[in-house]
Amino acid sequence: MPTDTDDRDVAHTLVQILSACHAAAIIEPVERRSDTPPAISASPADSSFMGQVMSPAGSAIVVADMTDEGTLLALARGGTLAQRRAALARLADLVDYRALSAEHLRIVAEGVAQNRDVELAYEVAAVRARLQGGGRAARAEREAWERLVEQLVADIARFWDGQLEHEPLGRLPGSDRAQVFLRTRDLPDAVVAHISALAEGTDGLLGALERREVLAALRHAADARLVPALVNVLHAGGDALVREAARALGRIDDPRVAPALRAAFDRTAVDATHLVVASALALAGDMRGAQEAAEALTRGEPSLVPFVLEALESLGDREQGDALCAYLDAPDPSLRVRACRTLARVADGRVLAQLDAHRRASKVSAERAELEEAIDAIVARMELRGEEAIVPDPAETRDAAVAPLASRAPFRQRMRAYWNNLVGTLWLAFGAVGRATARFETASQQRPGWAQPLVSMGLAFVRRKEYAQALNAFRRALTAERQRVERNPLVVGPVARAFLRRAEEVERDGRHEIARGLVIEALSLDLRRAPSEVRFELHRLGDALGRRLGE
Amino acid sequence: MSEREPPRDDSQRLRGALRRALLEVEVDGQRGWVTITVGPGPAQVRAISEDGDEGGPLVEAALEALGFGDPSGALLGPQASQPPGLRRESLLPQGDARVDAPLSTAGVAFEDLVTAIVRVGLDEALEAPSVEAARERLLSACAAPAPLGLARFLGRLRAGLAERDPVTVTRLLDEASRFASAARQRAPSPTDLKRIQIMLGPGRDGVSSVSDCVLVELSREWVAGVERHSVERRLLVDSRSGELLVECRLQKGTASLGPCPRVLRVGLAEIESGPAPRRIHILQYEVGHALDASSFDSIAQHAERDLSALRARYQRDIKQYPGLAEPHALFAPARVDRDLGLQLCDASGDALPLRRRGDEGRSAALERACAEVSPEWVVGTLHERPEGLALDPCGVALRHDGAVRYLRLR
Repeated sequence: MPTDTDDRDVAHTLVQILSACHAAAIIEPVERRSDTPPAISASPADSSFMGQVMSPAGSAIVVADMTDEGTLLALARGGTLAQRRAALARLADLVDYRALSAEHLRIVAEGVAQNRDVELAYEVAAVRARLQGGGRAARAEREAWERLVEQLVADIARFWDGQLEHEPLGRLPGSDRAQVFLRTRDLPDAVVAHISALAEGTDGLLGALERREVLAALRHAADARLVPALVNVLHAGGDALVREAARALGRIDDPRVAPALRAAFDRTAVDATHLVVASALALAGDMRGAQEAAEALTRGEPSLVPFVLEALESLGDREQGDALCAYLDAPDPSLRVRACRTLARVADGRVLAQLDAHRRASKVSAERAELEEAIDAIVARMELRGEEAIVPDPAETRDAAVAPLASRAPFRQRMRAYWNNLVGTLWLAFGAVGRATARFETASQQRPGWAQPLVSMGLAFVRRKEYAQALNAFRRALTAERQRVERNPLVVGPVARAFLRRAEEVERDGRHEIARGLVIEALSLDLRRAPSEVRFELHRLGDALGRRLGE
Repeated sequence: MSEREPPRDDSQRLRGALRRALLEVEVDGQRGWVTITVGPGPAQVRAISEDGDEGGPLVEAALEALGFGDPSGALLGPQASQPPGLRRESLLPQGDARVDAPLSTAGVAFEDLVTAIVRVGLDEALEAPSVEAARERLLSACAAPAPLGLARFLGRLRAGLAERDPVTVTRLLDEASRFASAARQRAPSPTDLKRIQIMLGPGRDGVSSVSDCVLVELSREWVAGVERHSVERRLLVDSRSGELLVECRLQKGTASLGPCPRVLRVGLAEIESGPAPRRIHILQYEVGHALDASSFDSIAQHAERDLSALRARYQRDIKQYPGLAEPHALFAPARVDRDLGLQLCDASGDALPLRRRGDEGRSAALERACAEVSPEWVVGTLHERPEGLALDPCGVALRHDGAVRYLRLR
């Protein structure tokens, strides 16, 4: 080519020659060689036990080799999300392999029963199912789940065939729907594909708000089959959808998660979405957002505070404990609860005294429960680090709070109340609800401050699906003996369910404010002993109603 | 210049000998460099400022200084009318101007894009103002929203420049160069016409109708178009022929409804002729939402098993449409090799490695899925690496307890 050839011609000739050379090279077989992917940037070095377990740089301590149930239970309480899951999975294996003595099994059962983290609902349920073995209750639970899934699969097929006008998941009762989202990993491929279509917005039915609700409900699904759909939302969704997709993705253990989140992190400015993505990325093992989250905490911009607290759950360090404690006095209750959760994960032993002081002062059961959970998580993590937690015995002070108010009534009056309660229970067994209710009312009047007859009355209404009536009885029981009601798993579950069902009824009638009021009331209770799916659904419904009402 | 009449005076003689000049010009306090190039064949004069502008006071002043000036600014842009003797060959005769002006403009814009990128080099091209300006000119030459072919071309080019991937960028520039040549033809060949249609959108003759077929959707993803992640692409396989097709839509466009993976019983669809995989527009369909055993059987029957044939097909596709073809493969390995990471091998032992870099974790996910079982078939996008072809997996069929399951990876 002459030296004075036009740039244009040079350029075109050059690319044609290069392209032809590359094309000619394709036909040659590939020389095999190792091509390892780039390593994920490791989290800040932590040489303690906590830092060594499942470290991205190559684990020195392998959870799958651990056999000490005490360590595993502490890890399931105070570890990172991945560590907590791995610890519970290991406990399930130990139970499966019959590697534990009866005494150790009892310790595991007690420890697991105390773990009420919704994020771990699936893993906790798996351990409990193994502990229960093939008992009647376990079998009934399994059969109910199988029926639910079978019905869902059939409805989904009818939906895509055009025989069903409504979206089948949306019509499920709240607690069933919550179970579906919490146990996504057990669902057949067809159901997961359907949920993916809802998340991607290719169902042709859901609006933006409903789609966001579906994504929010997938937060704890942790199913790798959802990754392609969630990544697509991350790529093409609006800010609100991206945040929900990031939250769900961060909790999935899959090699595709970190690259997708890293790309989203790089293209979002420092704002709410950026912080949520940073937090999700940290859950996936990449701490690149830590500095930005720390700076955002220092700035304290009010609109970003909830997102900063969320980000610091996975990105925070112990030096931020004092700054986070400031939010325990925030006027917004949701910020106070969030601050508790963040402190639980940051796990700075120096804040235990402040948490305990707030716990003693708190008048709201839900907040007190969060504070207690935070204290337990911090103590567990300190134990794992080999440190000693200096805190008043939480169990002792918590039990002391249960005041035996009803026992102050005179003996004869108490006996009459017992008698009427007993007769009411018998009437209930014969199906005479009216008579039973009258007896319970009498018993309640004879012994004010005794919750038992009111609880029995509430449970009777729940069985009859008269949730509005049940709420009245449960509210009275809570006024009489709040902590006894909250601490009894057999009672608090139906109480939470009654609130949820009534809120759903009211919501269907279009009275969203009242429904939200019911959900907020339920969430102000200590629901740690209520079933995970009910707690999950109450939170989901509360968020959804909040968004609908424009908050 | 050789086809023009010989110059009559000195200044004309000078202009006749001129091929390229770089002038520093100052107008109203604004100073800049202007490159003027005079084409060798039929007269072509081109001026471009350092900012990539082909118009403006600096360019006008430079042209005027060399005697190419035209007070009306007629020489300055490809869309401007040309003075006698200086009409660019890429512009069609006056009679056709109304119909083909946008095509011609697009052709020139593609030429500019190639020149700009080659000038600044791969390392700098992503941020270079001249490249960005050429890109903008290309977009303004086409109706908005940009046609899918062009949008995808630009998206891939940006990604290739960002990754500094010489192979992809070379292919795309080769395509741009071919498009420019095709657009310059007064009577384009059928191949040239097809290339233009693929890039700028098909006419009715570029589309064929199909009816009563069964497609299986295997993956869907948002890929780069004019903007990042602005084109949704769904990969489907025709269960009768085994051909891989794509259904594409822009962010605000529409596409068929349904989950992925799924079986689609198509009543009516249109398929654009073009590079692999061809684009399909699904018009009438029923969704059978789950993949059944017969779907898996038919897909497995059509899967490729010979890597040398697969490479030859890839080479053919790429040679024909270097920047438009995005070959995919449905490959059924005879066995897998796990010694140096998962590699899919055919019966002769030839191996197809997975794409590790830029695959967003899909290869690792495939490796994890295949930790204990061998894949029945894998579907994915073929990519060139310096050592040869590699597969970026979109999905895999695995046999568990006698039943085949499909795992979507993207």
